[in-house]
Amino acid sequence: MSWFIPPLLFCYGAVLCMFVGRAQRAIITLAVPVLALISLLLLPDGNMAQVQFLGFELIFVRLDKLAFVFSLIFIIAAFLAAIYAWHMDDKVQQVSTLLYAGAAIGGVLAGDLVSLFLYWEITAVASVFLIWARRTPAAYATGMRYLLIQVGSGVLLLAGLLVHYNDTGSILFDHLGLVSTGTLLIFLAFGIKCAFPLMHNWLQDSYPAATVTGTVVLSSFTTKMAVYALARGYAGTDILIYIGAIMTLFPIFFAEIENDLRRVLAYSLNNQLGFMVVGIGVGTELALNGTAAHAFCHILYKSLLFMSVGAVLYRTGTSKASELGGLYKTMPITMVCCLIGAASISAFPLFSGFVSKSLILDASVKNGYYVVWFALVVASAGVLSHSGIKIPYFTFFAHDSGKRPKEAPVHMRVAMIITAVLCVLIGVFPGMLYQLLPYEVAYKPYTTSHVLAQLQLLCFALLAFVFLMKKGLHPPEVKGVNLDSDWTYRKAIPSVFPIFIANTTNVVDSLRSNALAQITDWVRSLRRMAVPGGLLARGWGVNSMVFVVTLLLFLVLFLNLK
Amino acid sequence: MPDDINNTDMTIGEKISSAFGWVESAASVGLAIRILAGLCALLYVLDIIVHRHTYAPGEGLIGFYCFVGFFAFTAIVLGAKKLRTWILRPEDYYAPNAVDSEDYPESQLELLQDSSIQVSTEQEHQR
Repeated sequence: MSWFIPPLLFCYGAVLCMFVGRAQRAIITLAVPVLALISLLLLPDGNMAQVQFLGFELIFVRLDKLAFVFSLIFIIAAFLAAIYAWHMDDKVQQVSTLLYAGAAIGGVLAGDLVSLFLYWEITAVASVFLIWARRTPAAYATGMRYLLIQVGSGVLLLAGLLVHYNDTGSILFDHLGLVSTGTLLIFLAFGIKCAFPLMHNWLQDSYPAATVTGTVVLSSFTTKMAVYALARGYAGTDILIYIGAIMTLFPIFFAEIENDLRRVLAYSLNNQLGFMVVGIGVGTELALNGTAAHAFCHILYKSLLFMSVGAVLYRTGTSKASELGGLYKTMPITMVCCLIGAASISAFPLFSGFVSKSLILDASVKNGYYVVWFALVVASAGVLSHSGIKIPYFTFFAHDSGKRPKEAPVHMRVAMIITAVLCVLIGVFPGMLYQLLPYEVAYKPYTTSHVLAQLQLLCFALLAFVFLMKKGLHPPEVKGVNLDSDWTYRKAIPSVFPIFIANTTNVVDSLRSNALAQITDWVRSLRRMAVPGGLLARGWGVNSMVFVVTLLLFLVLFLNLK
Repeated sequence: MPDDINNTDMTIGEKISSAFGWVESAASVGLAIRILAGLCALLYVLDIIVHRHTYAPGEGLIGFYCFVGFFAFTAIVLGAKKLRTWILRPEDYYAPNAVDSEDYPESQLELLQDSSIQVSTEQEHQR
């Protein structure tokens, strides 16, 4: 059975893909998730696939309810992405997608930090090919930035695990808590992949640069693997509540004014991660259930949104809001799917986001985190603005761009429709999702208070949108890029660095020439003293010699006084 | 519009897009806005009638979520608009090392036009 665990199945699929033709590759990418699902369902709970390696016991499969729910949604995401990418004739992307998805599932199933590290790095290396597959110099540069940060996260994880092992003698991946240097390093490694504030730039930089299908794949795995890792290792760590609250708020502003819709979605992804991180920070059973549920729903509706914007890009050649509009006429199915994704992420009742986000909000308010709870409520209104309204409105409605693209290809529509149906099913029958969650919690999302509050929030936010549009206060979509903190390493440091280097070289050069001139002076004066009749070339009398020796003896005596 | 929807020759997609045709008409959009405003009024009134379970201080105020929804949305949009005046740069700011100013490689796309509708818009332009 150890040879047929889900991560290995993905690995076999990837290897097989390297040697077969286009049609077979498409079938393999679809069949592997199905087989992996069967394998996952057959696996018993507990540790499996244990291997002795350099005196460590590596646990490649540790299955419990938390690992199960994340593995399950990863497998579903891989399956949906495979349908969406059915047209693709690109071996590089197909192989790397399988390796990447497999490694992400492996990371979730890993029972020790060494195997987690292994998978952590494989996801980094495998996923960068989804960016490079765009095959432009700009995509190459973006991929390099992405890879540097991702591998950097892995290096931190390795450093952390070594320090942690030195401290505790254990490499088990269970609750760690922020208690030592080692656990802090591991926390930072997770934080980078989870796109904590100021560690987030790789996400918005790279996801819009990936291929049409690549972005759909990327959006599902890396960040949610990090969410899982945080939930496993740092549940109940207070600081996560505040990190999460900031994460929900600041990306909203950037998403609101961003022109590239795939980058809007990347910011919105960042904002959704914030909700999950708050759940982990609160750390109660209800909150952790909320995080798992929200990750599950989020992967579906975020994939759906990336799929619909990807389909638009596939047909029109652009995903920029300033160049789109009025596409509902010719891409109606894509439009409806996008609207369902938008309703789900905005957490309208009867859609998936509502039944998952509620758990986190309730957990935070019931534990007395009122300020954080209020931040989440405000952020929920913000989600409606950039993902709920902006994405569908500026793509499919707003001003008519004059573009009349054909509807998305059949396989893309199939993928979108299945994902949309899942979003609605979870929203209407939340029990299906709740029974998968790590803890037994009886929770009813559809109470009168709850539905009423959410409808009030969303409808009045919609009213605000109408008001701002009518008054002409809503910012129009304009071409351009918006600076974010990555400006420091993409522009500031590279522009200052050459000046710094040049100045440093100048200073060093002048110091060196001054020192040389000084030494030359000394040598010259010594030489002057050494000529016949000079100070150093004279004959010395006995008296003066005795005097010098006595002086030296006094000096020795003085130095030995204590 | 309803006639179009009942037309059995139309594909599902065409039915959907004609069902959304109302967004083109200013009168229909005005009606939709009035319906939304009516819905908001109803939700506000419901807040007076229905007792909501509350946990946080202030959450029980009548219309709490209405106000938060409206003002949070407005503040976010206006705040973002202000933010843009500081951080907006030309599209080729990071070029050639960023994809912002480059076209997506066409060889990886399938740019197809929907010819049936293209004709009708040309006709509209001629008019």
